[in-house]
Formats: sequence, C-alpha cells, structure tokens
Amino acid sequence: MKTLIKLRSASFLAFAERFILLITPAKMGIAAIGMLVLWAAFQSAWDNLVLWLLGALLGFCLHRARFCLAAAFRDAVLFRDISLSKAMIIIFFVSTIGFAFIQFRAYSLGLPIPGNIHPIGFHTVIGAFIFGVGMVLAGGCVCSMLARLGEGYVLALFILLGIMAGSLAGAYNVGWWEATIGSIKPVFFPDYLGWAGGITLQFLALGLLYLLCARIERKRL
Amino acid sequence: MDNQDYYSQNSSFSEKRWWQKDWPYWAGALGIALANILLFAFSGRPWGISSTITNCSVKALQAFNFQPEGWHYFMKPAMAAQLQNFDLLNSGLWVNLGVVSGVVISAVLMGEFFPRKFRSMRQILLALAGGFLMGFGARLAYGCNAGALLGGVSSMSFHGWLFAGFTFLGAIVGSKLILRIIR
Repeated sequence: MKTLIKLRSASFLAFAERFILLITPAKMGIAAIGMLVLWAAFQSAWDNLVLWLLGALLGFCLHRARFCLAAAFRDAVLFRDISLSKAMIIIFFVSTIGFAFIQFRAYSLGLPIPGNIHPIGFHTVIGAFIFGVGMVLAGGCVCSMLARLGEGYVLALFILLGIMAGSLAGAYNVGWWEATIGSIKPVFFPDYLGWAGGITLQFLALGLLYLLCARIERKRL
Repeated sequence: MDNQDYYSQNSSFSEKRWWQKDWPYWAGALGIALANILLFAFSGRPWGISSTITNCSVKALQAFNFQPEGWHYFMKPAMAAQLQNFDLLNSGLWVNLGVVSGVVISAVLMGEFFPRKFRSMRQILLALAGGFLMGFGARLAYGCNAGALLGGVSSMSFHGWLFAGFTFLGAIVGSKLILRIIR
C-alpha cells in the first residue's frame, strides 16, 4: 500500500512538474491578456470581438506565412526574389474581387461607395517614396512591425514610436502640400470606365504587375 | 548513438505538429485577402494601421493639452468624424490589437515567442528613423502599406497604384542607402 501511494505521488509529481514547465510565466501572461481582451470585448459589444477575431486571423496568416510587404519590394530589388511579390499580387487579385462585390452592392443600393479611396496629388507621390525609404530602413513595413511586436522583438516598439511621431508630423504637413500644390479628387476606376471596365483595367494592371515581376526574376540569370 | 542523433535531426522537421508548420506564401496570401474582405464587409473599412496609429497618437497628444484638431488633416469631414467618434477601443484599434494577438498565438504555437533584445544603438536609431519616415509618408499618401497598398489597390483607387509604384522606387533608394549604412 505504501509503495502504491509512493508511486502515485511520484507520477503526480512528474505530471505537475511537466505541467509547470509547460505553462511558463510568459504563456500565463499571454493567456491572462487574452482573457482580459475577450472579457473587455464581451463587455462592450460583440462587434469588437468580431473585429478582434478577424484581426487575429490576419495576424495568424501574417506570421505563419512569414509575410512582409516590405520584403516583397526589398527582395525584388536586392535579390531579384519575387516569391513574396507574387503572393502580394494574389492578395490584390482576391481582394479586388471581394471588395468589388461589396462596393457594387453599396452602389446598387444607392449608398456611398465604401473603401480606401483617397485624393491624389504630389503629396501621394512624395509620401509613397518616403514610405518606401523608411520601410527599408526600419527593416519592415507597418504590418511587419505588428508581427515583430507579436514575436517579442523589443526593436518593434521603437519602430512604433517612430511611426507615431511621423504620423503626427505628416498629419501636420499634409495640409501644406494640399494648400500649396493641390490635389485632385479621388480616382476610382469604375467612376470613369464603368464597373466592367474598371474591373478589367484592374485585372490588366495586375497582369502587367505580374509580368514586371517575372521580368525582374528573369534578369537574375 | 550517432544514428539516433542523425535520425532525430533529420526527422525533427517532419515531427513538427500541424499547428507548428510554416505556411507557403500563397496560403498566407489567401488568408490575408479573405480576412480583409470579411473585415471590409463587416466594418465598412478595410484593414488600416497608420490611420489607427495616427488617431491614437492624436488622442495621446490631446491628453497633454495640445490641440491637433485645427490641423488641416483633421478638417476633412471623414477624418474629423473619426476623431469625434473616437473611443479608445474604436474599430481600427481592435483590429490591430487582434493582429498582434494573432501573431502572438501563432508564435507561441511555434515556440517562437520570446523577448529578443537589440544589439546596438544603431539599430534603435535606424528603427526610429525608419519608423518616422514611414509614419510621415503614410500620412502624406493617406495610408500605409496595409491601408493604401492592400486596401487602396483592392478598392480600385488610383492612389493605391501610385502608392505601389513610388514605394517601389523608394525601396530601391532605401536599399542603396542601407547597403551604404551597413558597410
């Protein structure tokens, strides 16, 4: 009987030891944060929980596939490696189809067309250029920064700080650009070419982009 | 003993559980596109990061009694509305908190979640400078790579395509710059 109790307690100790080693403090902290977030989401509205879940899906795919839009550009430039660029084109292609459905539905209901449709001007060109430079300097794009935050890189906090400061400076500055040089109103393809024409133009442009990527790759050899 | 080491080294990759494996790029791309479409359908706005960061920074500034509402950027009705209807847990913040949480979950499942310290001051300076340029450029171009690139191009707006083209040029210049800095 004594041996039996000893054996049982030994195996229980072994199990407890494995359990404690498995659940490290970091994982406990993560679980606590996760439960806090879910509790807060449940408290305010289910909407926020759905948004959080969709974001989690985004983040999961982002990390699991080691995705980085900055690397898509940088690898194409430095190493003539277009695998990420091709994946980016896949995102454009699938998203365009999905977004077009949503936009057309809103249009046919008479609602304003949703989506990221913003004015164009010299500030767009300059802003995109500066963004490209900053992207390579920081070693990743904005979504990569979020991914590194999730992986535990302390450096990502500094990138975030920089983005916060830069956003404020940019928000202050964009007024000057628009007042001085001006900008034209947004260009939404279906406004000018109709829905079929706009979608066709979009697919043609994506095809051209793919050809450009293939040409970049071919020049490697 | 030797055989066992070789075997464990060789099969450790195939012994990864299914929730630990890397995904191919196209699988991640499909997942991101699907999530973005669902997000757009549900909330009416595609995924955007820099706009969220801008709004949160503005709220932080307001806590310190600056007044960014007068800036031109916030005179636009859409942006002013975002500021008025802001509550700390607005839609953009929830999505991006979710993104970080999703990355944490994926990293923990793969065993890759641990604090990684930086090596030198130069890394910090590069990070700050790069981040500043990214934030600045994102505001000038009305979006970062998630908002203007993924969202803008998918919304069939020309500003997204302009963004793509000139980001590419900027990446070329930036790559030359960083090669010079690293040397």
